[in-house]
Amino acid sequence: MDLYREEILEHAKNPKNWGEMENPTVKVQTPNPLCGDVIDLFLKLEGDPPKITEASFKTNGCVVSVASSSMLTEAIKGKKASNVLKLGEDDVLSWFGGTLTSSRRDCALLPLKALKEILGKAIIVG
Amino acid sequence: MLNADKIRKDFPILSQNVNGKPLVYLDSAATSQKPAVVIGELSRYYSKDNANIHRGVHTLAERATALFEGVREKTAKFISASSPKEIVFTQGTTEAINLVAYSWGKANLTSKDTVLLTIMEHHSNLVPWQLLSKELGFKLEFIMVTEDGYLENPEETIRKVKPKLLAFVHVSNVLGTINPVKKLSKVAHKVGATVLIDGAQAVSHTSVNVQSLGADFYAFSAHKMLGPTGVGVLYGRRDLLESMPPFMGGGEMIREVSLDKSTYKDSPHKFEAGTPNIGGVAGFGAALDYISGVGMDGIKTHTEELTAYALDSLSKIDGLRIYGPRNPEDHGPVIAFTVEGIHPHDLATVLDGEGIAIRSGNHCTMPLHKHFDLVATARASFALYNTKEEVDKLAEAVLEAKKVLGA
Repeated sequence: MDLYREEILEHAKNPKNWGEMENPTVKVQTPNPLCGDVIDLFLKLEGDPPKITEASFKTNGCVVSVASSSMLTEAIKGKKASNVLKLGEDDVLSWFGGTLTSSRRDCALLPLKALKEILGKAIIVG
Repeated sequence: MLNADKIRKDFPILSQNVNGKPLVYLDSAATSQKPAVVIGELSRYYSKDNANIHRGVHTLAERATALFEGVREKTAKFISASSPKEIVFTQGTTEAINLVAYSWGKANLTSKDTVLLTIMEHHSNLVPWQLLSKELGFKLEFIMVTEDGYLENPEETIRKVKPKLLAFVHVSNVLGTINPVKKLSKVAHKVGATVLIDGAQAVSHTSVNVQSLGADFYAFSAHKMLGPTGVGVLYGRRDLLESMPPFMGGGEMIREVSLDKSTYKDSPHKFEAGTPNIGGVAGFGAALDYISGVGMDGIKTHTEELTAYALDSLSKIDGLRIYGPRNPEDHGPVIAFTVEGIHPHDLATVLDGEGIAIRSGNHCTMPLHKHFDLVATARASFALYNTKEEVDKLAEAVLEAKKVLGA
């Protein structure tokens, strides 16, 4: 099956940036109301304008949400927060190459939702 | 076992391929499929008899009214109610339970009372009571569930708590547990409780006799028993229904209306404000006829054998854990399980690729999942049109999913 192709499974089995972060600048816990899964996202921000220097996550979610979190945290490291805020749902969905059925899109978009929440918070705080 | 080849021909939806494979529909606990006679009845009703009921004097109105009231009689017989006046048509089980909460509950519960539920309730038999408890201040208590999916000391709990209302599920939509309704109703009545049963998962495969079960209220949905969506039933003991205030106000339920007050019809019409789902009720009548034609005893044996077979073959899979009673006699045709290392959503997606429809998630029972320290489970459920070959396909596909997902 296309959705569970090698690349996606590899991210799910050996996710990048997995685990809790010590002294993050911001952290957030976001639930997926559809299934009850929860993602914890941690960011370290430095500089002005703020740049994301570190990103990590932890989740009890499915292959799709773990792979999406893994790819997302990789994609945002070293980027300016203002640029990361421009990341859209279509960008994340494109990583899955159009293999997601509508009921599984929420799984893929959960980390992005957490990211938007956390950056919103960071900008208010920062 | 029933003659599945013959029965499957009655269900047009089953003869299709999904993702290139023959559809294996194992999600009947969410909603059952519909036989051609039910689909046909919807079309026939709207083509020939459609009119509003209870008001018009023209021929079509008379026909539609007779049809609607005929299904009420059929429903009463189906669950052995003592009179059709004990059958209230609703949108579904959820509305039926809310009706009891907001009509009977508001008139009978005070801050001194306790409502006793179980932790295996569907959210539809939990949230209405939480909402009402906030308003009226009564206490909510819960019967716990054992590791193997049975109610934990239910009789002792009922005697100790002495609830004003005991409300619980006949067959759990997750654990499959068939609860001892008759025994528990008896104990509840002895302490003066009124008993509400959520029968949504029971009526499709068990003969229900509301009188011998001792149910004061019994709620269920047409769409889980081969009928259309949007039709539900609340059975209520006649004296209870007569004593209850209306649930919703509007047309159809009134006797006389002036600008400052109204008088209401007798039950059940008192509880059926507005134009009901007449076409859906007609379709439900066809579903009841279809079930009676096949025979509930045959359906019961068929689904029992499938459940026993599935419990056996699934439990042989490494890393697969089944939640709920292991004794098939205590287990309705609903099996919730997890596979080590695989999220239920991923399992359901891989199975969907094989044409197999199962449910994944918390099945509207978050407290029960939390009790088992779970976020989600996979759930396969069976109906009269399922076969042992389909159970084999399920087991094979689970093994395949383990391979694909490397669990």
